[in-house]
Formats: sequence, structure tokens, C-alpha cells
Amino acid sequence: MSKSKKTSVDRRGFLKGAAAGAAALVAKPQLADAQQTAAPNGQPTAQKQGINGSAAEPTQVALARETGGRPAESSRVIEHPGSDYMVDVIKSLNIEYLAANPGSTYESLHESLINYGDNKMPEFLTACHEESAVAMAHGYAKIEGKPMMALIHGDIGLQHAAMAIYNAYVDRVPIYMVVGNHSDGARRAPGVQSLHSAQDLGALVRDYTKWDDEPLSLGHFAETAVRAYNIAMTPPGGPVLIVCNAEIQGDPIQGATPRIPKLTLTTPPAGDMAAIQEAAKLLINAERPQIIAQRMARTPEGMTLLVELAELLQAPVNSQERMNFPTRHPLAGTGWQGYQPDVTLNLEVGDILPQARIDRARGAKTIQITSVSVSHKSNLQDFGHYADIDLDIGADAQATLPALIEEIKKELTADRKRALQDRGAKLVEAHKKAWERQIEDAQYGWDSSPISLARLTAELWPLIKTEDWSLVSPQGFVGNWPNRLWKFDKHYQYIGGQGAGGMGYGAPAAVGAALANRKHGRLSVNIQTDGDMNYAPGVLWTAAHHRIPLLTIMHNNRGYHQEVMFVEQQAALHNRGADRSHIGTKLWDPNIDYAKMAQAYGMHGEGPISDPNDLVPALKRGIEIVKKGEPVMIDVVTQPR
Amino acid sequence: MQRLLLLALIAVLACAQSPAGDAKHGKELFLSFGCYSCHSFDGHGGAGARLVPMPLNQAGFTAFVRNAGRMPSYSSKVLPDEKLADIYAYIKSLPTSPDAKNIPLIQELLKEN
Repeated sequence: MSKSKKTSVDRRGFLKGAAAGAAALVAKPQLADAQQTAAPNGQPTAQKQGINGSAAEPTQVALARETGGRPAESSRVIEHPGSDYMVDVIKSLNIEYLAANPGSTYESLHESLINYGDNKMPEFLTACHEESAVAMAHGYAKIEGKPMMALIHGDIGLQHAAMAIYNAYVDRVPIYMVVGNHSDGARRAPGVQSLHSAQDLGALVRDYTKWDDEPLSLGHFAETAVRAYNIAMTPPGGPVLIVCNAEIQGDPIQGATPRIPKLTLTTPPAGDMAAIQEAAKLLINAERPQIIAQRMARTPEGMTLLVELAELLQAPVNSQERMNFPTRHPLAGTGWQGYQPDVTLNLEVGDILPQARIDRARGAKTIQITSVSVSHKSNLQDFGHYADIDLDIGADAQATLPALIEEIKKELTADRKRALQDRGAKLVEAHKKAWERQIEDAQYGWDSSPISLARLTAELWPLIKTEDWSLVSPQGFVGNWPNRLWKFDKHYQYIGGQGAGGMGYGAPAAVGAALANRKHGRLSVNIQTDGDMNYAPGVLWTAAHHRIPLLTIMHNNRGYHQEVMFVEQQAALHNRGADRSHIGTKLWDPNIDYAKMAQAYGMHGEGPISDPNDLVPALKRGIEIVKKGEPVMIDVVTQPR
Repeated sequence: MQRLLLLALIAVLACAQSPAGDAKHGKELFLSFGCYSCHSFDGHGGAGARLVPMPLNQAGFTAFVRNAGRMPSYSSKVLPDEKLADIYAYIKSLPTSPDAKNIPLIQELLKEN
């Protein structure tokens, strides 16, 4: 049953709504039932509207749909609906998967995708929440480097999806969204079809959607669909939205179908050559340069380029948010103790103000390369503060690095090269010391129960390091222990965080990333925070149903821990006790049983595990099952952070 | 400069008489006041500093909690000296972690570089 139908207030109201809805969906001149319910101007007749002008009486078609009966064939057959053509267009984009929670505003397209399109390219994945559908696409894109589709119900579905869209927007990740809408008010039924329709549906999420359009014909749909894909992929990437009219989906194709335009991706914008030359001079002549990379490496090539640049300059690289730089590379980090950069090169850094302030205080130069500089919106403040920057290159950083590298090679003198090598030797030594210290720090709380995050991460490493593994969860809430202990050297081994810090991203993004990893045979690992898990746990069922191999290990600290600490800070600030800070922040009494949650959704679940000595056997069992192609959840009761 | 003043204060207070604490009650306070949330249940650190082994004497500990830096400061109205003494006694009772040299997995990790 579609969502629209489920949300009706009462059965009679539903029947009234369904009656007109059915009429709208089959409303072509040759369809007798529709002719009976609509006046020539398309409006329901007074008789059908009812005495009070409310919903129309149920028609034969509506009653048949509701009761499971079938109306006469001549009144319902549409051999070639517009949605078949839409499937042809979508297939031209080579999209592997779509995730969706079913909804009646796109039911014609739904049917065309699974039957006319044979449920291939894209393959349909059933999501239990629209936020999960979009977040799955978010995780998928960060592994695969291209968009997955999210098919979304009008109004209510889009509002469910909103937070996940904002995360992807801030994270500069391409997502291809199609949302249904009963756009034609004359053909829209009263009741739920009106509740789930909008005059300007894209407006609901326009502040954090890179581009949206509502095509008014099939030809328009084709153009919009191809353009949307291109816009999503052009750096900075982002979610795009196509509002897809139920009428255009459901009406028969008239005559020859429109041509499907050719997709040609726009080349990423590279930096201005004069600015690149200036940046090269600053970096070559710097005594202590530092590279800071956030959403820089869009592809594996981005990592290769950054390694080349760092080695050329012998500069330390502080990598954040993405897999930009190998964690055990001798130049990984922030330099030796007391290393005070005199030039910082900031590559796709989200909010540069903190670094720019430090640079200004030291008299250091700040260089920024980001495509976000040339792609701004106004309302939501994700662009951060305005910052004093000495050289601001509005371009995609990855696309700009080849020219910057070539310019540095050209300008680097033999003398300068020797100086850089001397600096590099000191940096190598500093990296080694810092790395050893980080590993030795894992000793603290080694035998603790609940289990320390360092112990959890350390015990996991020998079990996955010989596999082709991929960490598909953020690290901020787990103390960055994987970065500190594991050897990350491949682009797909880390996908970064939420983007906008919106909880509820973790579990579905992990499932989406694991979906992308599946065909490559990779072992996907998700260290899952408990607060995030409880936003929309139905994604576990999606993973089980679609056989998505994923090892989920609960970081179960039984609360929204960050907020616990914030409330404690406020209590101290207000000169009051912190002994009530658990109110509204903790997830205990009763404790949530994640093993049973996993089992309820049809996957292997174990735990809770509080004794560190029980950890490895459970992890081994879990990995064995995941390697057979199934999702697994292991509940580990952990230290807060 | 602030750090020097703090250390001087700690040194002065270290000479003062401090009440002996009750570790059992200290554990209750450590948990109910959320000390664990930054320092972990066993005091081995997390978002906050490691408390085990405790480098300060009781007077120094009290002085630090009253005028903490990054950590929230707690006044005597909120946490009287007697309660801090109990918390201090609990922290002092916590076992230290095993040394990294005696943890084979950490030694294996160190060999990987």
C-alpha cells in the first residue's frame, strides 16, 4: 500500500481521495471512467464533488483498486505510459541503484522501473525511510564517485529526506533525486493527493539542493534528467532534484518519443594560471609550508596528485574529511613539535576561518583552492565565516593540482630542492615519533570494561588488514582511533563524515557505501554510534533484504554523548551540579538490545559485549558471515569516547 | 603565565590540610556528576585528560577543579571540598593501565611501520 493511502484519516476519506486519484492517473480522453468523473475543463463535476464541494464519490476504478477487484480492461490499460520513456532516459545515465520508500506520486514510474526497465540499471532498493534512501545514496557516491538515485514521494517523502539532502549538500556529494508530484491541480484528487502535492515542490529543499527543475513534458524531462546528472557531478558536487509530474508519468506517450540528449560531463574548473604561479612561488619559498586537505580527493587520482605535491615540496599534509593522503606516509601529519607554518595551502577546506586566523596571527600566508568559492547560496550558513586569505583560487583543487605541480617543478632550483630535502628528513623523523606515540596511547584503558575505543579498533585491525577493507563510518565520535592505528592507503578506505553534522546519516550511509563496495568484493566495516543508529534503524532490514555485506560494530556508549558533555559544561557555567545531565541525553533504562534489533531485521546480531576478552571471537564470527555476503551487527558496550 | 600561577597555587594548597576522602562515595559522584563522560569510567581519558595515574595531590586537584582551563570549572557550591575529596580518593583507587611494552598487539602494531 502506498504511503498516501496509509496516511488517510479515515477509510471513507481515503476512498474519496483514491477515487479522484485513480481518475487522474488514468485521465485520458479514451478512458471512460475518467470521462465520467470530470467535466471538460478537467474539474470534477459538482455531483462527483459531493454536496459540500468536498471529495468526489468513489468511482468504479477507485473502488476496484481499494477492494482488490479489477475494473474492465478497456478502462485502465495504458500500453505506453510516459514513465516508460523516463526509464529509457534514466537508463542512459548508467545509474546502478535507486533507493526508495514507496509513494503514490511516483507509482507509474515505480512500475515502469521494475517491469519495463526489468529492475536493472537502476535496481530498486527498498528503503524504510526517505532519509535512509538519500543517505544511502550519499555513502554510495563517496565510494563509487558517481550518483545513485533516490526516488522520493511528494511533499511528505521530501520532507523526510530533507536532513539527508542537507548533509550531502554540505559534503559536496552528488545525489540524483526524483520526487513525484501531482502538479496539475485540475487532475489532482482532493484529500491525500492534495496533501502530497505542491505548487513548487523543489522550494522545500532548494536552499540546500544544487539544482532542481520541474519538467512539463517528456522532452523537457529528458533534457532536465541529463542536465541534472551533469550538474550533480560538476565540482562542487551536490544533490539535484527533478520534480516528476504524476500526470506526465502516467499519461500515454503521444507519437514518437523525444530524443534522449547525450551526456557529456563538464570538465572540473581548474585554477587561473597566474594565480597558480603565485601559489607555486609562495610554497617553494616557504620555510615551513603545510597542506591541509578536506574534501579534496574526489577520485583515487586526487590522492596520487597530493602525494606527488607533498613529496615535491616536502611539506606535511593534514588530511581531514576524506581519504586524501595515506595515513602512514612519512609526510602525514602536522610536522614536528613547534612546527609553525609560514604558508598554508588549504585544499577544499569547508570553513577556513580558524586556519586563516592562526595564519594571520603568525604573519603566515594563506592560500585556498576550492570550487565552493564560485558556488554559493544565501540562506543556510554552511559557507562559514568570511576569512582573510592571501590567495583565493576559485577552482576545483584536484583539477588544479597538476598545473600547480608542474609549475613548482619548473621553478624549483637545485639549492631550494636541497633545503626542502633537509626539511623532509626532519618531518620523516617527526612523523615516526608521532605515529609511535599514537599507537602506544592505545594502552590506556586497555583492560577497561566497558571497552575502550582504542582496544576495539586495535583488536579489529589484525582481522581486517589482510582483507580488501573499507571503513564506511565517520571517525570523530570514535576518537579517530582507526586513523591512528590502521594503515589507510586507498581512496575507498575512508568516506568521511556527515557533511552538515546531521545525525541519522551513519547507518544508511554505511549501507550505501557497502552496496558500492559489494561488487568489488570489499569488506565494509562500520563502527556505528548508538545515537545515530536509532534515527532510522529500518535500514538494517534494507541491508538484510538486499544481501549487502557489512560488518557493523556498535559503539554503544548508551547516549548522545557529545550532548552529555555539552550539558555538563552548561551546568558548570551556570554554577549548578552536573548530576542531572543525563536527562534528555542518555539512552539507558532500558538499555537498547542491538543484537535483538539486528535479529528482528533479519540479520546476524551478537552482544552486548562488555569484556574486552570476548571481543575477538565475536569479531571473527562476524567477519566470516560478512564474507559470505550478509550484514552483521555486533553490539559492543564502549567507553564514552 | 596562567599556567605558572596555577602551579604556584597548587604548590601552596598542597601544604594545606585536606580531608581524607571516601572512595566508595567518590565513585558514585564520579558517575553521577559525569566525570566519566570525558575521562572514561576508569579515568583513562577520552575527550578529556587521563586521570590515572593522578599527577596532582588532593589540594592541587581541588584547586584545578575550581579553576580548570578547557574543562568546566566546578565551584564549592556545586562540589564542596568534601565531595571532591571523595572523588579524589576514588580516582586514586583506580588501577593503572598495562604498559604498552606488555601488550603484544601494540608491539605488533609498532613493528608495522
